[in-house]
Formats: sequence, C-alpha cells, structure tokens
Amino acid sequence: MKKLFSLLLAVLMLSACLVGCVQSGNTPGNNSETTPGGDPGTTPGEPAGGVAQELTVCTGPDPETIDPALNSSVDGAIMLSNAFSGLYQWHTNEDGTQTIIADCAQEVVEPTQLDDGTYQYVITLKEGLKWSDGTELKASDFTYSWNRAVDPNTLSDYQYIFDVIAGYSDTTPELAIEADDAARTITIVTSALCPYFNQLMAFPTYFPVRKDIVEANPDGWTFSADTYVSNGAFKMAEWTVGDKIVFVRNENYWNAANVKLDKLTFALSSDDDAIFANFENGTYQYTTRVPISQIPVLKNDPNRMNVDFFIGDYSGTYFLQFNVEQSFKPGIGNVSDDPAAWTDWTPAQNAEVRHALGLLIDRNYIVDSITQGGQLPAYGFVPAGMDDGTGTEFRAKAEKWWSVDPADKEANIAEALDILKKYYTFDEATGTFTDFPVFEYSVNPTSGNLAMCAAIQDMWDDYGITVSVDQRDWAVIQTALSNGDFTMSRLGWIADYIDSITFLEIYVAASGNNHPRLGKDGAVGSAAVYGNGSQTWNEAYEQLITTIKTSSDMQARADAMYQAEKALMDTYAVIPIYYYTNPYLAKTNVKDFLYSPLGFVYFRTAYIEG
Amino acid sequence: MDSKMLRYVLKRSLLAVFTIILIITITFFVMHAVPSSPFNKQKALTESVKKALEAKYGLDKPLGQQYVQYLGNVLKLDFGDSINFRGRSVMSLVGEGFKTSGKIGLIAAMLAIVTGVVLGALAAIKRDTTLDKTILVLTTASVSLPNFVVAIILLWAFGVWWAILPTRGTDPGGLIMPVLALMLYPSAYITRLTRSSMLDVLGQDYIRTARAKGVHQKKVLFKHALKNALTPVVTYAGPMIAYIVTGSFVVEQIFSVPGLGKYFVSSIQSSDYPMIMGTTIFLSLIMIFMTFISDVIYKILDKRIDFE
Repeated sequence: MKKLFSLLLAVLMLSACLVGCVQSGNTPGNNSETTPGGDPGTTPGEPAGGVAQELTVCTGPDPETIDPALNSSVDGAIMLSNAFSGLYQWHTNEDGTQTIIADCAQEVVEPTQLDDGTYQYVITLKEGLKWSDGTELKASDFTYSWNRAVDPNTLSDYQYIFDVIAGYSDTTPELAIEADDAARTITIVTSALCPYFNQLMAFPTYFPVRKDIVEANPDGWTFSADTYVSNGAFKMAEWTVGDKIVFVRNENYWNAANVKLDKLTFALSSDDDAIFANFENGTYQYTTRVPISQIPVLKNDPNRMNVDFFIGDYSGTYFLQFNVEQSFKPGIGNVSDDPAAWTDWTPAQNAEVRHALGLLIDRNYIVDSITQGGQLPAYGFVPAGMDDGTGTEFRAKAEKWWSVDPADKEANIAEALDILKKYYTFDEATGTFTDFPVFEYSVNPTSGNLAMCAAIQDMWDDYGITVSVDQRDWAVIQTALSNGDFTMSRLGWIADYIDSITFLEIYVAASGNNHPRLGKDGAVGSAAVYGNGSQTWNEAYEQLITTIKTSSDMQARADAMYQAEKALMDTYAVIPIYYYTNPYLAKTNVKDFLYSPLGFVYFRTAYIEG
Repeated sequence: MDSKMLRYVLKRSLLAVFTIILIITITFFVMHAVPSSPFNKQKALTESVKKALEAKYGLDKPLGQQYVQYLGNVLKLDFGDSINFRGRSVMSLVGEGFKTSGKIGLIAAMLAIVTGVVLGALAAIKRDTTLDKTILVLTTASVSLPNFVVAIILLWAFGVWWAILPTRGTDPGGLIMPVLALMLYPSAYITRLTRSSMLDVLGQDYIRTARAKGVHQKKVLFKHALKNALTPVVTYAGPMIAYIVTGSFVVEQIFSVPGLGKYFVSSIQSSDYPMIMGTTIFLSLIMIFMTFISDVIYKILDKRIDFE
C-alpha cells in the first residue's frame, strides 16, 4: 500500500511539474506555438509571401439568425457586419476616434430641408456594385430590404430602428424611401433632423438583402452558402450547425482589393472557459468571450493587458430597476402594491427611499472587486461615451446624481441614512432600521449577476434592509419584467447607436422596455409627482421624448435630453451601477481589425502579420 | 421468436405509445404553466411583431387547441420549427445533433462497458491484492469527480499545456477527449458494479459445486460467474446508453461538439417550446427503447426470468 501511495505521489508531482514547465514556457505574445490537431482556420502550406491570411474567431454559439432584418444579437451583428456592406460604414481615424464614412454610397451626404419641415437625404450608390454571386446590386435592393424589415410580418426584432424615417408605424408602415435604379439613388425622408442617421446607415438591420433569394426561401436562405448572397467583404462558404460558419473573401465586394484575409472562420461555441482554452492554444485568434474569472488575472498581467487582452469601450449601463407600483411604506412587512400600502405614503416618498438605497451601494467596490473588467462606476443613466447630438459627450455636461469618488463613500451613506431616518425606525444600538419592508431582487442566475446580487444584498443588510433573492431563468424573468411581476431586478442596456435617445426613449409609457411601469395605466406609484410637479409622467416625459425625436434644433434637442434624464433620475426607478466595458482577446499578430463601442468588430481591413 | 416473446414485444410497444402520449401531455402543460414567453426579449419587440410571431407559432390559440394540434402534428412526424434558431426544423436540429452525440455516445458506452466489466472482474478475482485496491481507488475518484471537472482538466492538460490533442470535437481526433470524459463515470461505476456482483456470485454454492466437480478455473469464471454477475450491469447499461447517446450538455460545450446535449438546456432557458417538446420526446423514445433492449438481454442472460 505504501508503495502504491509513493508511486501515485510521484506521478502527481511529475505531472504538476510538467504543467508548470510548459505553462511558464508558453509566454503570451509568443505565437509560434504549434496548434494541436487540425486547426480549422490555419491549414499548413502557407502561400508564397507570408503567413496564410486565415483567421478563426469565436463570438459565441450558433447565432439565432444571420438574416440582417431579423438579427438582434451582437454576435449575429458581427457576422453580418463582415458579410454585408451598408450604405455607410464605421471607420477609425488616425487619432483613434471613429467616424462614419461611405461604403456602398459614393459619399456621406448632408440632408436638405423640405418645405414641410422634413429632411431629405439623396444617397448615390457607387458604380458597378455587385452581389457576391456577381449580379448587379441596385438601389432598389436597399429599399426592398428596408420595407421588408419594417413589415410586421417579417417578424424583425429591430422593426423600431426605422422609426426615424417618415411614414414609420409598427402596424402599417409606409416608409418615405424611394429608389431610382437608373440614377443609382436612394431618397430617404426623415420627419426631423436625426443626428445619428449616418450611424443607422451602417447598422446591420439596414443592410441590403436580395429579393429573389429571400422570397424563394424566406425562412432558410441564410442556412446555405448557395443562397446566402451578400455584398460585403466576405461571403459564406459553409455553415455547419454547432461547429462553424466559414466566410471567404468576396471578390465582388467593391473594395475587395483591400480585403487581406482569404478566410474568416467563426467557430461556434458557447462555453467561455472552453473558448478561452482554445484561444490559449491558438485554435482561435480572436474572441469576444472572456471568462469572468480570467478578467482580473489577464488585466493584472503586464504580459497580457493591452498585448493580447484588451478592454474595449462598450456603450451600456448595468442598473437596478424598481417596479414603481410597489410601496416601501414603513412597517408593512413586505414591499407591496396593495392599495392599503399606499395610504399615507406617496410615490415621492417611495422615490426618496429608492434614492437612499442607491446611495448605500458602493459602486467602486463593485467595479474594483466584483466585475473587475475596467467598468466605470455609474452616476447617471446614460453611459459614458454617448453623444448629446451636438458633438458634446452627454455625461460631461449632465448632472451627476451622486458622487462616485471613493472618498465620498461615507458621505453617501450618511445622506442615505438621513433620508431613511425620516421614515423608518432606526435602532442606534445595532445601527439598523427595524421596520424597512423586505423585498425581492429578481435575477437570472449568471455568475456575474449573482456575485453582484450578493454584494448589494450585503451592503443593504448592514442597515437592516433585507432583500431576498428570486432566481429565474432568462425567458421567465423577461416575462416577469414585462408584466410588472417583480419589485427590483437588474438589467443591462446597450446602445443601438451613439446617441443618448437610445437610452432615454425606453421609459415612455407605451414602451415594452418600461419595466418600472412609469406612467403605465393604473400604476399607483407612478402618479403626478413626477415630471415638473403639475404634469403626469406621461405628459412630462412623453413631451420631452417627442421634442427629442422631432426637433431639428440640435441644441433644443440636447436640452430636452438632459431634462429627460433628470426626470427619469428624479424617480429613482432606475439605479445605475456601472457602465459596461467589453473585454476581448486578440493574438498579437492579428492586425487592423476595427472594434466599435457598439460591440461590433469588422475584419475587412484585418490581416495576419507574418 | 416464439409467440410468448411476440406477445411481450407487442405489449411493450403499446405501453411505449401510452407512455409517450403521457410524457407529451405532461411536458406540454407543465411547459406552458411556466410564466414565460419566447418572445420577451431584452429589447422589447413592437406589439405588432410580437403578435405576428405568436400567430406564426400558433401561440395565440387557446392552450387546449394548441395541444390537440401538436398531437396531430406529432402523428404526422411534424415537430415544427425551433423558435430560437429561426427557420430550422426541430427534426433537423435534433437529427443532426444526434448524429454526433449518438456516435460519441455509443463509442463511450461500449468502451465503458468493456473496461468496466474487465476491470471489475479482475478486481473481484484478484480480491484484496494491490491491483484490486488500485482499481478501487481510481474508480472511487472517477465516480466522485463531476464530468465538467474531468472535462476541464482534460481540456487544459491535453489541449493547452501539453497540446497533444485537438480541443474542438469536429477536428480530426477531436472526439478522443469527449469520449474519455463521457466514459469515465460509467466505466468506473460498471467496474464497481461488476466487482461486487462478481464477488457475490463467486461465493454462491453453484460456483463451489462447479469447482468441486473439477471444472476448469477459466470456465468457472467466465461461463458460470461472469455471465451471472452481469445482470446488474445490464440493468444499469440500458438507461446509461440512452443518456449518453442523447448527449451531455457539459462535455459537448467544453469540447465544442455539435451534438444534441445543448438543446436540452438552451431550449428550456429560452422557452423554445417546439424544441423542448422535440428533445423530450426524443429522449423518452430512446429511453424506452433501451429499457426494452436491456429487458430482452436479461432474459438471454438468465433463463429464469419470464417475459410475463
């Protein structure tokens, strides 16, 4: 028996040593390591003149769809952005800033104001544009595609992204767009001046699709390389479900001469740890999926951070949202939407309580010790990096709703306690409130969400505020949020385009994303106190959003956006926690890809350095 | 096949049909009892699109009507389209996934049975020797390690640090690690099962009789002991094969195997109703079939078992 144990021990030690040796020898940035087995992306036998221009990336599992009209996921959008080309495209300037430049269009055009106050864009296509199968790409292909995407029967997740164009309606849309194939022009009328119009022209839902192809097989045209006709830098060569989608260079792309990659493979995988292992051994050369547990390790390793690990900007906010119908009246035991819970208790008092709850959260601790991915502590709903439409960064000018200076932590807590002491019984001996009602924190159980949940639970628990955790699956929680069947939950909101309206518009009463139920019919807690005191939420907020969406005076529009955020933050129905970042891994020899703060990545200019 | 056997098969088939209908009914109503919808997305759909989607997938009709329609479609072998993978039929997704999962599952199951029976028999014959104890330690360790731990260790050790095996299931040789990860638990379990059952049999009177009669040791062990010791293994192997060929969520995720396993989890998380039904029915069918097969093998192994 002794012999056996010593043998086992020896084997263990030997293997541990081997692991250690190999690991330390395998320094990051050294990309000469051989890939095990057959890497689908890099076949041996390099072409004369350098390394094979073949790249294998992983952005997740099979996308739900890669039909430009139907897609709403970021991984699907990344594939679309490489397979299709819109009228305009994103471009990184020398100084690192990003702007919109022409893609299929000849140039980026300025709108002209029409007599009725609407704005008209006349965009001319480049000459000789072709689809990947060699047929001519016409102006009418664009208008067909947009009319198709906006038709409710097409079932597009992003139907609303066309709402800037005159004639939009979610039931019977008649977009004010017109194509002239002979002149190669597309005429678009918007009801107001839209500062993010150019970005929309680069957005995947606005990419063109081929009418004959789509109509021949509306549900299945995207599944096979034979029918997946596109017009971008790459065209599909193969889609094997659960395995990979292979794209190859599209010789018919107008700028094919400048596309350097011959092959772009999207390996399909959904396990972050497995994806990371495949990046470490070189099977993948780029991935947007980094395991949460690895982020702090990679970030603090000077051999990895900004070498092959990067933290990209990502325009989004992680926040807590409250159902405003639920009363926090002292002494009622559990938070409740029962009318009795609202006697002698007002929505304004409720809002004050939510404000205090927000002040008790130490956001610096959350970004430094929990998320650890370079996120910024949030001090307003619209995230950092968003524009106010006049070229000014929104957050630079907007109010700070609380201080996120680590030095002010105690002051924030003191302020919160002052507010709460007005209403609740404070036991000085234990330093806790004794009659704060218990409420539920609804969360879909991902490791990140649960860690956040536990931290916030602790921060409140210190003061006798008890939160029970209500874990539900993603689809279940989405339904609960839509129906108002929750008290508090977390949510993340990512921008569709770089303009603050993409965040502010979600709280109009009719919005399906207005989970707090601000201004919803019969929402007890959402009474007239919001807005400017004399108006209801609907009147006040709706008016501001309408101003933003219809005003062609960019300054008035920006002013309305600042007021809208103030109106929203005054309710404290949303408590922003942090602004997102997007960590990604890219091997050091992968050069010149373009990453946008919407989370999209473009490989049309990328190459593998020899 | 004698008439008794035929009657038995018929009876079992009828029972199978009844079981499947019961499973469909329970799954259908439980699934719809969960307050959830496949169309509630992070960014809400417009009302008109949501309505059109519900109409497309028949979710706008009363539940009873949906149920009757579903049963009718199942009879026509039409399991509908997945909601989560737009435009792909449940049949094609499950079929394609099963091709892969079935292949690695069968290989893993066969290897597990062979290694398990051999090691178990060896351990029993060499009872209390170092070999027996080594096998015992290794199998205890294997049974107690969850397969995601095994899979992750294999992935990093052979796929990254030593880099001697491919890390994606679809690459040449890529199935080695998933098969290893899948077979570890059942082979260890079968080893222990065979060992204890074999020890039990070896202590029986008829073995002593056979030995006393001077029957050759090999014949005693293989013809008399092992054959009889395999009955519990057969009981275990039926459902084990059914589970293993329908794919493991964890193992397939970690080794990027385009199998069936992921659908069991993802369809429920996203309320992809047609996929939930399709995967459940498929698993039940395989399970019923494998149980039937193991019952037949029982009979062959032990003539005393009666089909009635």
